[in-house]
Amino acid sequence: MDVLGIQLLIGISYGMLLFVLASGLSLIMGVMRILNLAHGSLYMIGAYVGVTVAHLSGPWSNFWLAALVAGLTGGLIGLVLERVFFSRLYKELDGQVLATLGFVYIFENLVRWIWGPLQKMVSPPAFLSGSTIVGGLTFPTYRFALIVIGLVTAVGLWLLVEKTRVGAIIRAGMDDREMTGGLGVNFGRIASAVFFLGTFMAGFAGFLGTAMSGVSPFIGMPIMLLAVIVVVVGGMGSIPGALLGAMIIGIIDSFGKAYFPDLALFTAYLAMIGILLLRPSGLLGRKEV
Amino acid sequence: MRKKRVSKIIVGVCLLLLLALALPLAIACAPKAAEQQVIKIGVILDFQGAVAEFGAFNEQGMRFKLNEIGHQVAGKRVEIIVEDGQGEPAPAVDKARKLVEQDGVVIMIGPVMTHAAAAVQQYLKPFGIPYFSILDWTPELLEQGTVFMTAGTGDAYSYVLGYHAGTQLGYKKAAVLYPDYNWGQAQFAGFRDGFTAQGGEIVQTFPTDIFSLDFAPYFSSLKDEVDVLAFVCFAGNMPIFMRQYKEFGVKTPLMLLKGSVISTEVMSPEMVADVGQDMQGILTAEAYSSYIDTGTNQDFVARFESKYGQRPELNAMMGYASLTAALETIEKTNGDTSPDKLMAAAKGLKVELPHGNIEYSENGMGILDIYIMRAEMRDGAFAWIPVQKYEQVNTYILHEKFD
Amino acid sequence: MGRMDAGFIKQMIPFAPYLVSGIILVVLPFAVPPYFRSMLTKILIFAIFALSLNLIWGYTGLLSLGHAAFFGVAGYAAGILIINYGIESFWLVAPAAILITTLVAALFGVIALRVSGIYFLLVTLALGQLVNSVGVKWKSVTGGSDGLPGIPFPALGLSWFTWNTTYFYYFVLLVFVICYFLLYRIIKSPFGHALQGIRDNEPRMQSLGYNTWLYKYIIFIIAGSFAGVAGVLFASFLGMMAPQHAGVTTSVLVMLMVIIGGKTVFFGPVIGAAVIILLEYFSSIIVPLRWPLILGGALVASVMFLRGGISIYLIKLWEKVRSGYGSFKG
Repeated sequence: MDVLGIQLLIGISYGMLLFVLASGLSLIMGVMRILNLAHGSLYMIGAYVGVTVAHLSGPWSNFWLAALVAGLTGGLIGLVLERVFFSRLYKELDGQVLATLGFVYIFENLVRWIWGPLQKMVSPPAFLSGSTIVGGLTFPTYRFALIVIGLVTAVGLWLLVEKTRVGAIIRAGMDDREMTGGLGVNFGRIASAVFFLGTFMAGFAGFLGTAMSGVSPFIGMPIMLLAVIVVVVGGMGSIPGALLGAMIIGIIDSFGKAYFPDLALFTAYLAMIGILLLRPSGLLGRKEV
Repeated sequence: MRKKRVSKIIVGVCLLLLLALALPLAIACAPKAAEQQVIKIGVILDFQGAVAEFGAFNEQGMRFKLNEIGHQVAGKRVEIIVEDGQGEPAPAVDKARKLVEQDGVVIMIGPVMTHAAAAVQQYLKPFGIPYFSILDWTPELLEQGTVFMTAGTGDAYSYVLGYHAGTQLGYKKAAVLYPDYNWGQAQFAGFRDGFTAQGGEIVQTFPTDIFSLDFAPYFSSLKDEVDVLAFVCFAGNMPIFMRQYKEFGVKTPLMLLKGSVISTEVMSPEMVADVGQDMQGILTAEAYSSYIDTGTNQDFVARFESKYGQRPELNAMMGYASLTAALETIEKTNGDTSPDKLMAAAKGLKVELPHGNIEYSENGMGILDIYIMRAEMRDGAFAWIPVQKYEQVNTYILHEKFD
Repeated sequence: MGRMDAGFIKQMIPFAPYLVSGIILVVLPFAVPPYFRSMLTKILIFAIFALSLNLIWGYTGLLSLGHAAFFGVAGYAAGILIINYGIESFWLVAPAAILITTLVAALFGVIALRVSGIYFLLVTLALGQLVNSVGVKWKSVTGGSDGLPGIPFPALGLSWFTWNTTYFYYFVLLVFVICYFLLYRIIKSPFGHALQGIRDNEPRMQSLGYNTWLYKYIIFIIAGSFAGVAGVLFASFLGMMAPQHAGVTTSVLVMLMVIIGGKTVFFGPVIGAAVIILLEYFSSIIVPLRWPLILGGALVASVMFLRGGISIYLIKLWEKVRSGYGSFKG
């Protein structure tokens, strides 16, 4: 293991975090054709609520409990957004974009108001803290955990979408929503459930990310942009696509920071534009019907 | 129905705003005569952005000074008008415009963020009013001749630190991590100059985003041969920085460029508990610490603490210092607030502070003592303890002084 | 005699709002404090910017999330030409900057118009952020995240003339009037009507034989150029350019102006610009740290409740006044 290898591991672990976040966005965009630009803000809010819970004394300061709370926060806020706003903006893309952008600013300012402008941090659970020696080099144990969590999430989501009845309905809905209604399925409820799941993932990812490198009120927009790039590159609605996209973007980001600091973000946007022009459905996406 | 009512409300608000455009704000252009009696000093602070926590402390020190002098200077009432520059150039210029064109301030102070200050200085050019810094800025702002750098230039501190590292501590190879904008670059340049002047070598540099949250790529690629890692880190990032430092098994000694960004007052109790212990032994160079051992300083600290319930940290002291300088400039002109008189009075001004003096040279450079300090935990609080003093440092003659 | 007067006045009525607004705009600087004059200038600059966005959004149905890219490119181009290359004359700098912006718009248009719907939104977002990140990273040219300070008022080459904020206001007002007139002619022309046809039903226009891609492309470039005009003015106004002026936050600001002013009415964006900039000013006085909250709230409220923008109401008001007057005279 050498320095390059460590950089690769950093990129992969960061990519896994992006994957957990972006998978939620991918499902929402693929299933409901909703462009929720507030997805990054839900990452942030979930993180802050989770951190607050984790810093409570007593039985509440359990890492996994806090992570769950973070996810639930994301999911619940997402559900409210969906019921109150998106249901009224169905098929109005411009309206969705503007409203969700509005929420990015609202959430950023609210969080800053409540928690202050400084970054917040949380410690990973004791057994995941500290470092592991890999081939003579030291690597944080928690980042390994992130890789595992990411893979478990990937497998879980993939099973859900490909192997379950609910998943079949979701896939059908991605291709032709009206048809599923005709088949007697209440797609609206499934759609809400998908939205909840997607935004749960966002909040959950937020807390996980905070244990790795902290969170600030201003992270909502940048991380949303990264998630969007991942989804576009990987393909809307595709879990393997989100995984692939996240790996690519994660590695570009970390190698970029270490070796080409001037180019990293630039490259990511170029990749996104390139994909949109050459293969809009993404590397592993479903072709537009 | 409800939708219609809300839209009517929105329309009403909008029309009201438009009416406000048509009707001049009488309050704004009202009794100018009464205002002649009040001298106004414009203050732009950073309440947002990378150094969001500084603004409150700067203001603390300034208000403390105002109370000390009973809001009077040269026989007239004096006021400070504080605006939030948001830590960015464009909003800072916006606020400067308001302070000058609407409020009629005679002297401008701040903000801390150098790139915002550079923009404000450009705006102030045609008005010719003295522009005081609170902390340090970068040297090129002195070219106009309208700027007075209260705490000298930023590279002075990192130069002293680099010099100290090379001569007193015998380090030969260094790596530098800094945020990639003009202030951060100046920190790097200062350290590099001081360190290499004694034959040291900078083997690695890590320019980061201003808001960098993740230091993993840098720690993982840090070479073993490096004797010391000089770094810039804002308070909020410190716990993350220290945690990742340990996670990647880095053992290289640390030197913090511009330690002012870290202090007990800035760090939350959780942060102190989190990293206070780990940070012990880190060295920095700064202009002030409440632990400086002179009688007058300890006196000042006691008074400050009884009023605010916390010790004065560097930002509070420099807020105090910059306002003191502005006030003494006005005293020197006997209350004459015309720009040229004020400008002339500020040059060569010597300001006495609880811990020492600051002198402004003819070209506006602040000349002051710089202390090497070590991080320690004292009574459960994080403290910067002075270990060595470099006296009356003037960046312009820096190289001659130390060679 | 009386009958001729009534007829003449009736003919002039449609022009009345323009006349009144024109008089107000010319006289206003003298009625407001100096700081407000700067704000009026800012309103006019953003009015041009917002009108340009409405060309593609309100009239052609294309929402670009990266429109500020052109605003930023123009401002930076002007600044870089003046500061880095020492080209002082406004008569060289402004056309050059606008030309550069037009070329960028031509390039971006080819890229963006290859896709539609959600993908168009994402491509324009990415292009805008790309310009933003170039502004941040290309430090040697753009000054990086510190921005590019020291941009002067336009050097007109008239030795007897020195600038101040009031003169600059009238200069911007002149440019605004010219742009308004030009944009109005474009919209009222057959070309403009075709655009609206494309917005409402593109397949139908295609079946009628229109090359809809070409129409969209041309208006995309024109919109970019006019955004560029606003950008050049802004560079002199603020005296500096920063990367965020090309990024999504500035794009969102001008989107809010269009939506609140009304995108179905030609002068809507102008009203919107005035409202938003005033809102920004008041919020910085009353609740300084809460501007993003207000901005976001206004955006959500506009989308949910204010479909036509406030200009619709202004027009209804005007119609009422007109019919009232007409019945009195008639």
